[in-house]
Formats: sequence, structure tokens, C-alpha cells
Amino acid sequence: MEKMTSPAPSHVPVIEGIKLCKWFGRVAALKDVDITIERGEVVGLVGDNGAGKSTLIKILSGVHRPDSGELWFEGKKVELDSPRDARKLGIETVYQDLALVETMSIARNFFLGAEPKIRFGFFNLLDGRKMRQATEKMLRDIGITVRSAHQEVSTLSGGERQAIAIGRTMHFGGKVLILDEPTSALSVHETNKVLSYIDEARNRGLSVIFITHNLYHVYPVADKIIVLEHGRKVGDFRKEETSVEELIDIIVHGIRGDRRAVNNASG
Amino acid sequence: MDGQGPSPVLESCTTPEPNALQKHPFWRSLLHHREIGVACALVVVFTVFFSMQRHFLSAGTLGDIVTVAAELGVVAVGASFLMISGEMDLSVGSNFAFSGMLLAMLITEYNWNPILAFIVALACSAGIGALNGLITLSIGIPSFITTLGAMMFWRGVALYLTQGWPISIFEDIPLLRWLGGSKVFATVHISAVWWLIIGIIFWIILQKTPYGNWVFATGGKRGAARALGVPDFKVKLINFTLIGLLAGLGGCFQLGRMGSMSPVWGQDLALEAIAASVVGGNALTGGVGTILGTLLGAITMASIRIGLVMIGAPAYWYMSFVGFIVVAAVALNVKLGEVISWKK
Amino acid sequence: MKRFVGLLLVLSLVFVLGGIPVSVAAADEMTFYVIAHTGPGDPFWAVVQKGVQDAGKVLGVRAIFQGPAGYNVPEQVNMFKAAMEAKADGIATSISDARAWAEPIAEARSRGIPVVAINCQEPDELRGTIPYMAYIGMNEYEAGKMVAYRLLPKLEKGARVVVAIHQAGHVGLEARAKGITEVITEELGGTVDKLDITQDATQAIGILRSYLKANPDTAAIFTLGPLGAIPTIKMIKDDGLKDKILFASFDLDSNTIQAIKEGICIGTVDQQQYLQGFMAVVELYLNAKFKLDPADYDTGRGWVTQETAEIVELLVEQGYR
Repeated sequence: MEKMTSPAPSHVPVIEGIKLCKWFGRVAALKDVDITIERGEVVGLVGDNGAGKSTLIKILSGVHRPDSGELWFEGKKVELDSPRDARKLGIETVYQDLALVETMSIARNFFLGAEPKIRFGFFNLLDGRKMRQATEKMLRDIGITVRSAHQEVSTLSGGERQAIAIGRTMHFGGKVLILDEPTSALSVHETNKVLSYIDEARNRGLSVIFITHNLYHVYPVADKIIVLEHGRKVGDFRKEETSVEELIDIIVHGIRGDRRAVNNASG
Repeated sequence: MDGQGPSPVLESCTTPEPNALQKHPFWRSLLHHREIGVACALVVVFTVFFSMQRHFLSAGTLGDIVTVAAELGVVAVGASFLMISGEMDLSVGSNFAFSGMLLAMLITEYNWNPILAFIVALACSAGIGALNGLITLSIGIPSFITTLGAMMFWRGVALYLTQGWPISIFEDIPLLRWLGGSKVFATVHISAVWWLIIGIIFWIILQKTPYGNWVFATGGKRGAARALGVPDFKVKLINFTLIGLLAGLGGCFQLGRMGSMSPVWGQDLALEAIAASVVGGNALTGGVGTILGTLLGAITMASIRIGLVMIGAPAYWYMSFVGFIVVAAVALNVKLGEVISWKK
Repeated sequence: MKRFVGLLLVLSLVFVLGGIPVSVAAADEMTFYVIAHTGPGDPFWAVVQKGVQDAGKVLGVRAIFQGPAGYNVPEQVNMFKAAMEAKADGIATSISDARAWAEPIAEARSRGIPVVAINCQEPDELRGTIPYMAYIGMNEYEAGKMVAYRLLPKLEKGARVVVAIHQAGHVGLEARAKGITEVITEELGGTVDKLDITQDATQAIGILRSYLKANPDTAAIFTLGPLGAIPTIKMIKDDGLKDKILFASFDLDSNTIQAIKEGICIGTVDQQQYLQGFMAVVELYLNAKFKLDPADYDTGRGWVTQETAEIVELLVEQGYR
């Protein structure tokens, strides 16, 4: 049962982060970062290690609170105190290693944190049948064959696990899907599959933000690419405006004069 | 024959589709239950003892086993529940003794209404558990350390209550009869019935409720659980409180059965509860487990104790035998774990 | 995996096959249990265990000693119940908690299993509520009387003695003190002062010294165990009181035995716990086989003096005392 994304007026971005700053002790993880995500947009977040990509998405998903700056969701100012708050709004995040609990079954993982319930007097029991059926349907939709929805996640390959994590967020009616390094450690075949799911998500009206080190992965599927460096945004390009080579160059060598002027105009 | 290139007679290997839906013979699906390991251990223990002492399988003996298992088992259920969520509690023995002593003191020395005293004793034992949880979770000390300190602290308090002396209750107090004094069937004390009920309740909570799902997730991968909005802090805190409550309840059961309580009893309870849990198929590191397995684990431990006495083994064999069974059962569980992965 | 299960099954089979002759034999043999409130690791009980095992050999029966690793009455009760279920021909147990033992022992008696008690603190108090058939062990009060009687010939009429108690309120120690006091006051018309010397050795010496200073005419010191004996021995040595004051104590330990050999201590009472194990089995056997009613046996009649000190020391090493 998928929830339809509620149609927001198309000129209001789904997420807007304004001048976000985050300090960890004396270190500035993020400095005055602006980010805008439109509905149905796929945004790639790139930059070298320590650029602040993880911190930024953690702020967007409610894990951290920004030390200064504002967060707007569908035209309203919001404060996210916990991941639960973010999930309630429809922001679903898939972390690299923290997406699934390997020792639990696919069905239990799928509904973790959003378990279907049957009321029994004044207790809530798990609706096991619903869990199994929904999971089986999802597995079919994604195209994964397993012996049972009760199989432990540890029996699945990396790509299959990513697929399930993504499938989960789509099932729960997310509006924004945040992915942290979804394709690292995946085979070519699996990477392809994951990128196609991201495409599918966009087709269903979701916005997607994903962090990656691999510009060859992000470029084909992204609409917009944001580059961070040492906590600052140094690039905000539509795909058509740039190329993989240029992006690599910016990350490795830093932003250069003429591009900086263009960025200041559009950022 | 040129010796190069593959032999033309090579057959292509046929591997079955790895993940395709397959039908399995019934006995194979039995193996997919985590409790199989402890069930085997129990069968082995029973076989060994029965072969050496034909009275081992008498109704009287089985009743004794279940009664002895109850006092350990109540705490083991709590220990498993906490272990699955990724923590452990070494202070249960001291909590057990302290709560039993408190109940006895309130009834005899302060003449409280027994039911009120019982509620207060349980509230205190739950409080000890909650305190353990708060210290562990808020400060970030490993639960092993917090509860190690708590174990020593509350043992001291229990000793202080009566300067080390035991307390006996000679009057017939209905509450104590209900807690463990009366027998329901031959040699089975009522505490065994309570234990069974508690086991069933916790089995339901763990396997059939959303909270149970959270317990598995919190222990399986705390970060993932938290990222999905599971209140991991609350889950662990609640579980610490529950094990405290059950430890206190166990102490009250023992007071009911014996009519006396001493501040030095229950010293080995923490390790025995953990042993019963791991023998039953619960992983020490958390994330997986079974309450049914714990129940069987406690019965296995109790059977060993009673069985060794019945075959006339020297008293010190108990420790060695238990050690052997614990390692053997856990080894079996680990081997089975590979097969179990696909189920639940 | 299959190999592992197979190994387990083979092991079980071995046990079953190996065990059948054992259980068949056991079915005909008489079996007696002696269950203590602690057991393995405690040197005191090791002696009792020896007594139990030796009695079994002498009588040709299975005599089994059991005890939990640490002091734990519920554990002990569990063992007692297991022994009952094993259809033991007789069970001896130490009773350290009257309330906990009333029901199990009554149950055993109702099933026709003879039960005797060993090593209890206040056997007479228990006799009313707990239906054991006889008590085999030390009678603290009687032992106190015995020590006093032993020293009587060496004391003058109206003498003053001091009883140093190292744990005031301890039921057994108080009983010993009571026995000493009664004999001295009744037989000698003497004065007996009870002194709490605490378990701390340094404090004990100080307390004793001040007492002796205040009462220089004290003729004898009685201590009630090694915790009292050790500081007293030290004080006697340091203050050169060896032949000036009589000194007797209870229980065997290397310090006390050494002091006896050196003539500092006149003698000590030996609980003779070997008898607690040995005689318990004997009495149970006689009742089980011939329905002979068991009688109380006071094992605490052992008196170790300079003559026997060396031999006793050897026997302690061998585990008989």
C-alpha cells in the first residue's frame, strides 16, 4: 500500500536548507550551506572525504540539529529533533551500513519502526500476515527471489539489501529519499539495478539525494549535482551544465575563478 | 593428447538455484528453529542420567526439576530479553537476595501487610534494574561494568539489612504460599506455574509484538534501529527494569518456597541465568534469541543439578558438567545458526 | 554439522551402554546420602566427606557426600529432594535454617526414609519442629562444659577466669561460653567474665591486656576458636605469660596445635567431624537394615593435648581430623 506523494505547489521546493552550519567542537563540519531540492528531483552530493556530505544529510534526516540556519519542508519551517520526526514528514534515509539489521528477517526489517498492528484489548500485536504479504509483494516488484520473507537479511547480497532498503522507503510513502553511498561495494550488475531503482523513485514523484564518491554513478541518474569542500558548498550544477571530468577536477583541485563567479550567481 | 586446455569430458556443474522457493522435507524445517540446540542438549542430559538412575524420569523428579528451574528460569527469561537487546546484567543475584530480604523484613520486623510489602519489594527490584539502565545508557559505561558494581553494592546492602543474618518467617502467610510455598501437583511448586506464565507472556512480547521487533533490532544493530526511529534508549531502559523486576520476583519465589531468606544466597545466579540463556540459543552479543529456548535452558541446568545428585556423583562435578554442557550446547547452536538463517 | 550431531549421538550411546551396568548394580546396593550446607573446597567438610566414604567402604554400601559450592540452603534443599527422588535408603543433613528444612525432612520421613541431622548449631531447639531421628555432631554447650572440667583440677576454688568471645551473639560460641561459665561457677564457685574481643587481632590483644591489668589474679583464659586463639597466643608469648596463666581453646588450626606443642596452650576441643560423616552413615545403615533406632552422638568430645598434638597434626594433614 503506497501512499501517494501529496502534490505540493510546483514552485515550492520539497526541502530547502538555508545557511546551515554545524560545529563539532572546534571543527566546522558545515559552513553556510544552502541546498534546494525540488519535487521529483535527483540530487547527487559529492566531494572528497571530510567535505561534510554525511553531516549535511544527517541534518536533513533528523540525526543532528544544525547549530545555525533553517530547514524548510514543503514551504514550512521545520525543526527535526530525531529521525522519527524526519520519517513522519516523509524523509526516509538509507545509510550505508545502518539500513538493515542482518540478524532479522526481511519482513521484520521491512516494517521496522512502522510495524503493522492488530489491537488486542489494550496491547498491540504484530500483524504477521500483513507483514509477510507486503514483503513478498515488494520482493516480487523489485525482482528478488527468496525462499521466504522470513529469511534472514544476512543471506542476501549487498545489492539486494540496498534494493530492499530503497523499496522500504518507497513503500512507506516517503517524499524524500536520502541515500548514503548506495553503490559502493556493489557489483556492476547490482549498481545498475540500484540506479534504476533511483530512477523509478523519481518516476513516482520522490525526490532523491544521494552521496557518492563515484561520479560515474551519479552523473547518469542525477538532475543536479552539489559539490562540498571542507564544509562549504563549492558547486551547484545542473547536469547539463557540467561533465564528469569537470566535477572530478573541481573536487581534486578546488574550484577555479570563472566557475566560482557562476556559482555565486546561481547558488 | 596435448595436455593443454580443458578435458572435453568435463561436465558442467549443476548448482541448484540459490534462492529459489523450495520445498523442504519436514524434518529439515525443524532444524530451522533456534531451540533445536537446547532440545538436543536436554535429550542428551536426560538420556545420560536416566541410563544411570532409573528414578530420574519419575514424576517426583521431574516436578523437582521444574520447581528448581523456576527460580533460575524467571531470572533467565529477563536475562535473555535484555541480552537480545544487547546488554547484560550481572547484578541479578544481589537484586534477588536484596528483594527477598526486603520482603521478609517488611513482613516480620515491621509487620507490614504482606501484599503491600510484596509490591514495595518488586518496586525496589525494578528500581535497581532501572538504575542500572540509567547509569549504563546515560553515562555510556558498558553494562558489564555497571552491573558488576551494582552486584557488589546491592549485595552489601542486603548484608547490611540484617548484619548478615538470615530471616525466617514461621507464620503461615498466604502470600508466601501463593508465591512458592504451596504445591500444585506432586512435587511441583506453584512458582513453576508462575514461571511458565511469565515465559509465555515474554514469548508473546518478543515474537508477536512491535516492541519485540524493536528489541531484536536494538540488539541486532542499534544504529540501524535508531535511524529508523526505534527508541533504542527506551527499549534498553525498559529491558533493564524488567530484568530487575524478574530478579526480585525470583527472590520472592524463593522466600515463598523456603520460608527463609539469607543475604548470601543467589551468588551464582547471574552467570547461571546467562548460561541458561546461551544454552537456550540466545546470542551473547544480542540480536537473536528465543524465550522457549531459555525455558528449556533453565530446565537443562536444573536437570543437571538434580541428576548429578541422583547418580551419586561427587559434589564438585556439577561445575565441570555444567561447563561442558554450556560449551557443547553453544557450539551446537552456532552450527545450527548457519542453517537457521533463512527462517525468522 | 551432520558429523557433529553424529558425535553427540555416539557419546550418548556410550553413556547409555556404559551406564546400564552401573544402574543395575546400583539398584541392589543400599545408598546413603550425607548433605552439608557447603562442601567442595572447604577443608572442614573434606574431613566429613572422608568419614562418609570410609563408612561406605566398611559397610559395603554406597555412601555419597554432597554439598553446594558455597553456603546456600536452597541448593542444599534441592539436593536433599533429589536424594529423596533417588529413593535413598537414608539421608543425613546439616540443618542451618529451621524454617527451610521443616517441610523437606517431614516429607522424607513420611516416605519412610530415615533422616539424621549433623553439624547443627542448636540441635535441641530444632528437635521440636523438625522430625529428624537423631543428632550427630558437636554439642557446643556440652563442649564448653567439657573444657571447663578438663581445666578444673588445675584451678583453685573461687578462681577467676575469662572467656574471650570473638563474635558476640554467635549462637554456637555463646553456647560454648555458657557451658564454661556454668561449670566454673557451680563447681568452683569461681568468677567468670565474658569478654568481647572482636574479630580484629590487634584490638583483641589490647582488650585482653587491659583486662589482665585490671584483674592480675586471672587464672585462665578460654578462647572459643582460632580467631580468639591467635591473638591470645601472641599476647602470651609477647608478655611472657606462658606458665603464669592457663589457656584452652576450641577447634583445630595450625596455630593452636603449635601452641599446644609449645606448652602455651593446654588443649583444644576437636569437633571430630570425621565422626559426623562416618557415624551418620552407620546409624542410617543400621536403621535402614535392622530398624535400629538411631541415637544422638556427641562428636565434640575430642580433646587435644601436648601428648597427642603431634599425631593429630599428622592426621589433619591426612584429612582425618
